[in-house]
Amino acid sequence: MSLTIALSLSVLFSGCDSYLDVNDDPDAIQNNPGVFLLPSIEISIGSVIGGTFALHGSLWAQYYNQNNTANQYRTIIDMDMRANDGDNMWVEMYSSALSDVQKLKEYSLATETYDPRLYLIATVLESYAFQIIFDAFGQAPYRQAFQGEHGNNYNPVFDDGEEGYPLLVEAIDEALERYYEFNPDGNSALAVLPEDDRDKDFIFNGDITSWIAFANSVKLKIAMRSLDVDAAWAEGIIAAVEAEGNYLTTDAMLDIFQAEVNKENPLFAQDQNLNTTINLVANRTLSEFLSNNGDPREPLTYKANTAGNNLLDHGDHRATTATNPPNSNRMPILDATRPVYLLTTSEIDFFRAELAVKGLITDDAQALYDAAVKSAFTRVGASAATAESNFLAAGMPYEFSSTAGDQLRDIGVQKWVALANVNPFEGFLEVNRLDFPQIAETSTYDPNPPQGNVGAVLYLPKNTVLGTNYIRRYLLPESESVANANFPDAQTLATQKLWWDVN
Amino acid sequence: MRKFLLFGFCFLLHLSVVWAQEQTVSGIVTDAQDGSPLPGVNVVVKGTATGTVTDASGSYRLSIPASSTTLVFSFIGLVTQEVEIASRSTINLAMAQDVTQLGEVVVTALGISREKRSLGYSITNVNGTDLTKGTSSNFTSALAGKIAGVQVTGGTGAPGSSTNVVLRGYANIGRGTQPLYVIDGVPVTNTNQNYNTNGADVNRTVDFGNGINDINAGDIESMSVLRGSAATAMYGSAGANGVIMITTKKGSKELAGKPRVTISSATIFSSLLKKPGYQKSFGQGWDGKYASEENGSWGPRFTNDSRLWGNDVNGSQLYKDFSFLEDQVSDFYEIGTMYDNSISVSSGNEDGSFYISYNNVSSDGIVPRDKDSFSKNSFKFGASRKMGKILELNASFNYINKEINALPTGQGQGGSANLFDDILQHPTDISLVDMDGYRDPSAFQNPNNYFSPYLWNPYFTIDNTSNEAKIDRMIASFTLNADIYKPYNIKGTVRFGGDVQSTFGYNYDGKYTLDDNSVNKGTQDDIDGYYREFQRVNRLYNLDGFISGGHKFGNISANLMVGANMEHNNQSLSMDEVKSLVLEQSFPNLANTSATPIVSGGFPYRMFRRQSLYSVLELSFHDMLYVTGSLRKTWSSTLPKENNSYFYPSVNASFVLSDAIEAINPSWVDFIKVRVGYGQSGNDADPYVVNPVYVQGQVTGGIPFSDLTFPLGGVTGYEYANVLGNPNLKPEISSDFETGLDVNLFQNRVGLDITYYNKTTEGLLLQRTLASSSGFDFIWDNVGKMTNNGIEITANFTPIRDLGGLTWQLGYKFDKNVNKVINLTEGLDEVTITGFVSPSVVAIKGKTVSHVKAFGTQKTPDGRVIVDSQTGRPLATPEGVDLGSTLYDYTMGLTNTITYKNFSLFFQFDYRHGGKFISYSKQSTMWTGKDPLTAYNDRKPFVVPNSVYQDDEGNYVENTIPITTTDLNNYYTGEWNDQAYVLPKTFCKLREVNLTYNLPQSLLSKSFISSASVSLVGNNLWLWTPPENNVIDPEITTAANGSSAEFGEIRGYPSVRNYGFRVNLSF
Repeated sequence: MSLTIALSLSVLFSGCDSYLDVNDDPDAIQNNPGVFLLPSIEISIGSVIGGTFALHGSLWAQYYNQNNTANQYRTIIDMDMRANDGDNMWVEMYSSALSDVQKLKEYSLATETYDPRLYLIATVLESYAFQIIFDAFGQAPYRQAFQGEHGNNYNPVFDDGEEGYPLLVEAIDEALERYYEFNPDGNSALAVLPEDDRDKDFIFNGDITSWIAFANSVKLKIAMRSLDVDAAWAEGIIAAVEAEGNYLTTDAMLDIFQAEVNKENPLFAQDQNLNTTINLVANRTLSEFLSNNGDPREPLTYKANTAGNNLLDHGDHRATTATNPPNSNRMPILDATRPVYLLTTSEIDFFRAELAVKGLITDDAQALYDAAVKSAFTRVGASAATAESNFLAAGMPYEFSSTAGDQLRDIGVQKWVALANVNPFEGFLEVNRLDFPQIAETSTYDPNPPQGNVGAVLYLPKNTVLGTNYIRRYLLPESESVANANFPDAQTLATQKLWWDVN
Repeated sequence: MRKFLLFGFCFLLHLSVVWAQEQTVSGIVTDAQDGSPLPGVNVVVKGTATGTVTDASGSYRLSIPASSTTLVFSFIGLVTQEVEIASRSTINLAMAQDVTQLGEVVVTALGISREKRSLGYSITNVNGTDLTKGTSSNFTSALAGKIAGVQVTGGTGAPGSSTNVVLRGYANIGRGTQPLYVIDGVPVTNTNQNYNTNGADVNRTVDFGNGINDINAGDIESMSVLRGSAATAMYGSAGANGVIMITTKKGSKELAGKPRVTISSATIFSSLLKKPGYQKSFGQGWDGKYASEENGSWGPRFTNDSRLWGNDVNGSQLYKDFSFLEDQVSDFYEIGTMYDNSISVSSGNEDGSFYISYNNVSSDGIVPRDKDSFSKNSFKFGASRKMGKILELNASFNYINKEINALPTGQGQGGSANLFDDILQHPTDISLVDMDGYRDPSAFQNPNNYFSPYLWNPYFTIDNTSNEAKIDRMIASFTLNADIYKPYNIKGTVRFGGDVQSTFGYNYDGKYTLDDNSVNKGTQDDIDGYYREFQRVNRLYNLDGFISGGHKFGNISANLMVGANMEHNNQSLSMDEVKSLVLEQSFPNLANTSATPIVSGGFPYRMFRRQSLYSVLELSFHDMLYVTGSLRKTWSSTLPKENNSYFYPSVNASFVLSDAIEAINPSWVDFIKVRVGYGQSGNDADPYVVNPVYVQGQVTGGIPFSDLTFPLGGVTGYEYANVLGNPNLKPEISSDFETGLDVNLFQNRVGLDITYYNKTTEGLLLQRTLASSSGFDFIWDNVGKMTNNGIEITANFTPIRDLGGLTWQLGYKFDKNVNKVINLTEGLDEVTITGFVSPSVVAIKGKTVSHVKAFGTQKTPDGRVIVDSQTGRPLATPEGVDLGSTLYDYTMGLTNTITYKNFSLFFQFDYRHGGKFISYSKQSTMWTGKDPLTAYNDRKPFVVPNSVYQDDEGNYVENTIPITTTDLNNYYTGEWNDQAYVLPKTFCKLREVNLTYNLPQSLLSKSFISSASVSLVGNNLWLWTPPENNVIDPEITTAANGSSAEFGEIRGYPSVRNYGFRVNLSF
């Protein structure tokens, strides 16, 4: 009997290894899913650009305002920054979007799945995302990032944006080189992802030619930011991309949001799904600039609230309900299905108009400026013809000025307007770089601003905590500080200008 | 226990031989506790070998020599009694339990019976009848306050809610504290029947009860509680939090083929135990002014005059007195009911036995309607059969079917309310019970006309939400015992057990849209509605095989056992939800939406397995010194393959001092034993944390409700998980030392059991945070070290024993556990366990694993309160302040058993001291100005005492800015005052009362009934809390029995007192 039991037990245990080999989650994927990482990467980046960055950018660029009867974003608009204000973007970028980028790169370079097209897409998205990280925080781990798995490096060292920028361009160039090796003859069949994979690319539907245009546009954007701080390097990049002349001809955007829970435009979702009443309202700064010029984009950007059409001064969330009763403030038009724009043709045109004004390219600055404004009109639903006849033509409010200084102001102001509801964080960054519209050292509005671009002024928020300073960046994120031993000792002030913002 | 011991004793007693037939004595022996007949009691004429045993109906008949004077009645586990015959021919006797349990045999790990005197560790036995004394719907709550080292928290007063059992403190960080439950040697699952992985989250919870409470308490013969590693090492990882072993009832051989039927029926009523204390001076309104649409009691002083109230509906308006309603809350709640009926049939003979039972529990709680109700049916069949001379087969099946309706607590979700928050927020002058009958569109109580747009009618909230779970469960076990070779007592056992549990449940909030012309439209949010359904299946299979043998070498006897175990555990949980509904009529269904249902959360499938080899060597010297050593090795599927096994050694010794040393053994000493034990136990990781994986893409927005989920636009995406796999994981290892002393004195009138233990857990497994720039947010890692040490005292005292039929027994237990986190991840001093930014529950290095932190007031270095220079309100500290541990300092229990003839009275107090809990009920009463604290200074303006503010130059200036009447709400609900919601946990409860009358045998002997009793029963009858806690029973938790169960409550279901009666019959 005992023998029988012993035998049966030994039989049971002989399957020892396979019996215990059950630690692979059947609901998770064990192997790299390759191109299926791409939708996640694009949406992650889009959710950050079009979500919290868009929200904060809208407040700081004075497109939107904090309602006086709610308080969700009071500290943000008061520029009373907390170390955790950037956590969401930082975490989502690093541990979601960009860690997936590393996996997609691994997949595309592996011998059995070799496809430099995916490597190119991954790298362009990575450099695009890292530029925003550097622009938001000033410094961030780049060279030592993503070594948690293979290098067991849980404490990556931070890189300054100034060191990081050239690396972003180098990464794009290296990825382009790989692609040109893969498709040296420009074979059109190889210039697009395999048919089944194309829908995984929400931005360009797998069209590598568009990705190359996007790559050049990102390089241009990086160079433009560096123009004031490292002109030689920036001009070199600009000369190279200009020689190629291949920029975005359509907006790089994610246009797949649906009017359904968990499928909505991220800014819409953030604002509408809170269990509170109206939080975001219109900002007097942009609204009055537009209406002052009779710009048809005003009613395309804002709408009347149920109980009124009031405007709040920038950051005036302590306005009383006597002056601004509940539900009486003008509201932003938010739309669940609005695309998230990563980079628009208007921005490229504005960049190049700027280059033309500065004499770095020979193109017609006014033509570029006009094209940029016209496409900004059409992007939000106004007509290019109206822009041309009522705004850009001689004597009209947005007419391109004659002197270089005024031209740069025109570019700055119109770029600021063009990025409202499109890419608000970019709008905030460009105000800092171009210094137009100028930021007044007061929170008191000019009661009778002049018409035209000269009338665009940003004001200090009514309840600012920064005196006459203005916000320039996020604090380095708290989530990183609690776990990274190489987190910088000194926290940078939110008023500290970014390295490229030297003028 | 007693019935279990019959096996051994019936053999010995067949020596009874009839000698000279000079006198006959007969009678019936019954159990003093419940009056049931006691078969197998040894009845012997003192000083002779003449004797017999009682039969199945407890009767005996004995012929004795005329010279006989005394009969001795004895039975293991009961107090031996000597009775003068005094020429009586009928001697009936009620025998009482021997509280000292001297010589008692207890069931230890793997279902092996051992003499308690031989054990080198603490083990406590509880009789099945003790679990039904107070007749609560959860039998585990009957353990509360009875056993040292066992902390049972009763959950809420909702029928079928969870109980939280913690043995000897927290042994891990946030990974659950529930002990392993083992029924007849087979482990069973005790998971929540909820949609959460472990317990429930704090945001919104519905408590559908925990698994072990499915068991019918009436089927339980006895329960053993194993606390230290020395006792639990044989259960390996599953027993890391301690083990509770349940032995179920069996058919008795003594019945000799005759059936025995028992019937038990209880009717229990429940009512609110503790209602929140309110200020009684100020009524509805805000900012000191009357406002009939407000949800606050910040209004003017009560005037007790009749005034118009509420909204105008079709030109008419209501009148009511503007005065405090003392019974506002208690009137709203109803009397809850519970009917608990069971029947069992058993029989047996030399060849085998069976036991069949059916139990039905049907209960409706104190909330109006039946949204807090549950019903349970349990069928059990157990049988044993001898096959030939060697083999014996035991089989047991238990099928349980349960339906439970529960009310949600915690934060609202999707615009729906929490009923208990609604109740707490209604002004104190408004009658809640009058709010029924709201359905008529023209009713004043209708949501469209409701007096306040900030509140929902509580009856509407009840009707508009439903949460239901239907559970089917089957527990089966088969045991084959073989008596292989008698001379060396070689025995073998193969035992298979399976526990399969399937739950279907849903959460539903109906869609509700206010009419466009409603006065509340726009201010009160419409309810979008919400529906989630989930299916959960838990499977646990367990296979044990072991063989043992022993021999006596002179005065040394040795026994060796070797065995093997395989454990298979899998759970699946799938959920689908729709977040905005279409139909307003009640339609809890995924089809009630125009959106695509979302496959959400859960863990569609989780599996883990373990296998083990073990051996136990028991040595005894002169039956005085016992040494037991055991060794177990476990291989676990959840650890890295190359390094997936670990050892559990344990050794313990017991020395019966009173037998060994005559000198310290005077007549008043019955028994002294010292014991010492050491054991190690390991706990493996959660499944699937070793290898990195890819999962379906999900993007987390910066604020709640803004997540993006795939598929999007018909395309799906996957992402690399943000939890980094850890191929270097090791098990958590606990080393546990315990020593103790058992003493019985004065003919067992005094008993004392003291245990000291010291447990160190190293390599604590924790999902720790990584810097995101590493590419990952978390990693499972072995990070910390924690100790638990403490003392447990159990004392028994019998001041009166059988004095004219009166016996009085006292029992006392005390335990104190000191938990300390020695270290956490390097550079990390705190880990958040649960809660929000403030208050939150954190494990703190150098302190305990569960501390409450909340914002406090900023103070100057010399201790003055710093206030805001504009408002005069205190400034909150930027970070939470440690307000103390949630763990009790110590707990005590006191039981009293008084028996007089056929009456017995039992009552028990449970006292727990120290600890803090978070009460969001308190937060609600502060926010609405109902808490007595808000009536400070008669609500006249005041300057915060001893306060300063900082001027523009940074100097502290004496504060003179008063808090005005209109600012009181902002003042009391400011962040600085978060600590006001953290309350002391100390309480004293009259936990159980039972008054039983056993019908005398003289009355029953002519009927077919062999025993009958009637009891008045009650539990949770009285509660005392310190004055600071004027709100809620500190036992209430809204996190069921997860690892965060001790944090407190977010507007939880209140606790209830239960009282009723029970009838037991057997024939």
